[in-house]
Amino acid sequence: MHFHLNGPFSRPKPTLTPAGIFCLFLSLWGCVAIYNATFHLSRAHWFVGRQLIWVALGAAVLLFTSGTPPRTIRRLLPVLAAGSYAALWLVLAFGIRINGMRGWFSWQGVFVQPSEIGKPVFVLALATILTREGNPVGDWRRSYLPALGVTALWVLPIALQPDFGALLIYGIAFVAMYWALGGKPAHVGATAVGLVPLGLLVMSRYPYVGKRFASFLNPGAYPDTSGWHILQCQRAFASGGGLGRSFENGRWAQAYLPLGHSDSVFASAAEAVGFVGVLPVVLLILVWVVYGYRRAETCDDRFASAVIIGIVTMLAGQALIHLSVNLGLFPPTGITLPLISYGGSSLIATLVSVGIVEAMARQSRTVDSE
Amino acid sequence: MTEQATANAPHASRRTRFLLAVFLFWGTVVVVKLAQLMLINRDQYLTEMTRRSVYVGHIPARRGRLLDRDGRVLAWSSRHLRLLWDVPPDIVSASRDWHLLKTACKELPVWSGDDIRDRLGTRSCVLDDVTLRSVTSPEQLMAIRGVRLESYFARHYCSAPEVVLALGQVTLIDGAEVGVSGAEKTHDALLRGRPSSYRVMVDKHGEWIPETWRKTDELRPGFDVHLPASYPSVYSIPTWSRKPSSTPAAAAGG
Repeated sequence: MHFHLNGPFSRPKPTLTPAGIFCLFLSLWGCVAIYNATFHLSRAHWFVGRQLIWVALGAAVLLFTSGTPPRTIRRLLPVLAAGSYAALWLVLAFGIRINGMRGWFSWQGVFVQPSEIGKPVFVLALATILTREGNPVGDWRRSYLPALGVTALWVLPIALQPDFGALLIYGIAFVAMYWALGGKPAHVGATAVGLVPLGLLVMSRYPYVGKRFASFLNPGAYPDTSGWHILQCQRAFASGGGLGRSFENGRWAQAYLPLGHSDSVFASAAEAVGFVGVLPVVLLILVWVVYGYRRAETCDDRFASAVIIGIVTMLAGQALIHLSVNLGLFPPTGITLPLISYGGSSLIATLVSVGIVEAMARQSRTVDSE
Repeated sequence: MTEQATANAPHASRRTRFLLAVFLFWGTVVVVKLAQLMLINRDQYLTEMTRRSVYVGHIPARRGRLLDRDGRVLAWSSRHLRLLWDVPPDIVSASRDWHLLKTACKELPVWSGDDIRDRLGTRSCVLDDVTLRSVTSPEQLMAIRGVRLESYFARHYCSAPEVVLALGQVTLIDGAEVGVSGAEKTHDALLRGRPSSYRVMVDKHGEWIPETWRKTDELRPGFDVHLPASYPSVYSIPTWSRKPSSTPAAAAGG
């Protein structure tokens, strides 16, 4: 398959790669998991119906993005970045508040979360800064500080929402990209030390953050308050056992588990399909990491390599944090499971990200074959 | 490959492998934790879950009858229904539910708007000896939010005082009638029967999840016991006592 970069805005050619097909199947499996978590509600088909619409829309977006030439993506980046960043600020003024977080635009029953949509754009922007000509990544003045500055500016409106889960994902992407491109660990370490006072400030301003940490360390001490979510997730896993209770029979998830279709979707699915059913999910995340990093290693373009590393790390990190939160290995934070959890913004952003990875990786193969 | 990429590739490769190792470690930890929760320590979690979420209830068996040598009934039990109602906190919902209850049940007390208002938000408001209308099933009644039905037994005796003394009395223990004196105590093992047991899961508000209701023990009614005596004088009394004598005080009063 040849791909010609014949202009700054080469026309996208809809492309469906094996990875893309696989992601769409995973999205459909997510719809089943969402139905399993919500069928007992009065509007049993409401969540899954909406998610199916998002999957259809996401499939189109994936086709389009996978076939978009990387050069076009780079040319569009200033517009995309400006739009995404403006949306992050505008949502603070015009967005609606859900669960104490002002992070969604709402229009006619459709919710859009800018912090999700902005994830792939952030990776593209950061990759641009880290791979600028003549700026070695190890140079803290010419490379690290600009990258850190962009990251700080990008996450500032997200911190004000406040969406600490998204903040964490952006932070992981930044560290992984900087490290993988040759950054010095001392820079990251110094930044981490500098963030400690900020973390303490956040914990004093938002007491629930401290409570979540305390309940994470000993959920049994807070069984009816901050430890409730962790305990119910763990019990849903135990209820599933080795083989699960089959779909629609996850009584524990239905009766006790909060947000079984979004933030706890892994636990509710685990009760239905059991250990043998969720083990492949973990393996698939690791396969995605191996696949992505292999693509990044064989990439001849540094920008493309950085983008792939950033997106792969971001998605895999988000997925593993979701699993870890559900299992009680990580303090509770509202993070969705990419492709599986309910939510159009998350699904579209994930499929766009996969499309960008495929587009970037395909470019190197095309150039090699030429 | 470009010159720059060639220069950076081995370095980047080493570092991405380090990241890969981090993810592999993380994934392994997740799998181990999954195995611990779902396989290794599962029973421990299930025990805890059962303790917190499963309600085990008993349906008492009907106590056997006491009869004289000639087969005349001296003591018997009748089943009654008790309605427990969590009255909604707002007057509109409470009035609507009360109207539904009156449609489904006979002989409910006459409550005015003020009576209902006084009970707003009351949990487990008790209405004893409820009789369902013939067109109402218990399921229909329990479809009204916050309504539960409990059955209980009342023991009745013939009204001859000398016979009642010989028959003795029963008391209620966990909803079952237990003989505490006289023939009721002597033949208690035969009369009592075996209650049925059931398990049902409750949600975080304490409400039953009906689909999870399971019977765990079959109910066996008590046996009838024929006393080795005849009490012809009993039948010289034309009426039977209708007063339940399920408590010692009530029995003594009878």
